[in-house]
Amino acid sequence: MRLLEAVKGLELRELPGAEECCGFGGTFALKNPDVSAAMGTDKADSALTTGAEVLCGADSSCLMHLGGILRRRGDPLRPLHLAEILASTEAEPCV
Amino acid sequence: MSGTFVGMPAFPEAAREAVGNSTLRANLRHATHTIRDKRAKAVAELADWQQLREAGKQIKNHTLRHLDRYLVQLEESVVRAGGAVHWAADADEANRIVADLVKATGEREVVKVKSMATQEIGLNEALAAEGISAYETDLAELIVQLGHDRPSHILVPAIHRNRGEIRDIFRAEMGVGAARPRTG
Repeated sequence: MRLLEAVKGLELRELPGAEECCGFGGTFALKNPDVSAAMGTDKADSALTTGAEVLCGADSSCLMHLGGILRRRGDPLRPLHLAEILASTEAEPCV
Repeated sequence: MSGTFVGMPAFPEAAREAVGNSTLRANLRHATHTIRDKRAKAVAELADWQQLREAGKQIKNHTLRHLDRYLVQLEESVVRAGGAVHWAADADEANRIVADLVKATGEREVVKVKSMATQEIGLNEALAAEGISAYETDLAELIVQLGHDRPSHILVPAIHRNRGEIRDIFRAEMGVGAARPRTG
């Protein structure tokens, strides 16, 4: 959070229900595909309520799972790893 | 493949149908968030929450590890207090003991308290097979029973139902005020 707040030009929006799992969970997504997708949908919906353009996470699996849902639905929200945001520069922005 | 409650489909199959039920999901979302918020409030009141939690865990594990001793101790205490203890090796024997006790009284109706153990052994069904009607006294268990349903949670058996559904179940099964206007 503190790192993100320090990024120039970045307006941080807190994610409601941040403690809730995105539902991917490695093999959980394969063993319980319907529950996994339902959890991911809930997560994507709560992320959309923030009105943010970027959904930041520190776990690639979560971001892949949520990114798949957002992309398929055509939602205006892009998943980005924390490292991608921190590594970006004004010359090479990530957004 | 995986061990499930008698007669129920495996979790992934059951879930496929359940996740498509938007009322069910809204009910559970509302109930679990309410419970979680209350839990967080209670946890915040205690400085030694983690230690208490760990102590509780150890008591539970210790008791389960020495259940043979504690069950006998419980029997002694119950007998000393004037009660009787029956031992059953399995679900069938437990159901038979209860059914025989009821039959010995000549009664056809019994009231029950909330019990997950009797849910698991199918006591109500076993009693029904003997012509005995069992009535649940716990509100949530009553909702489940009248809804011809299964409990969805050990502590909150009717967590999957909302007020409107419960009203409809009570109206349909208790035959009360079917045409009465809503008063909130």
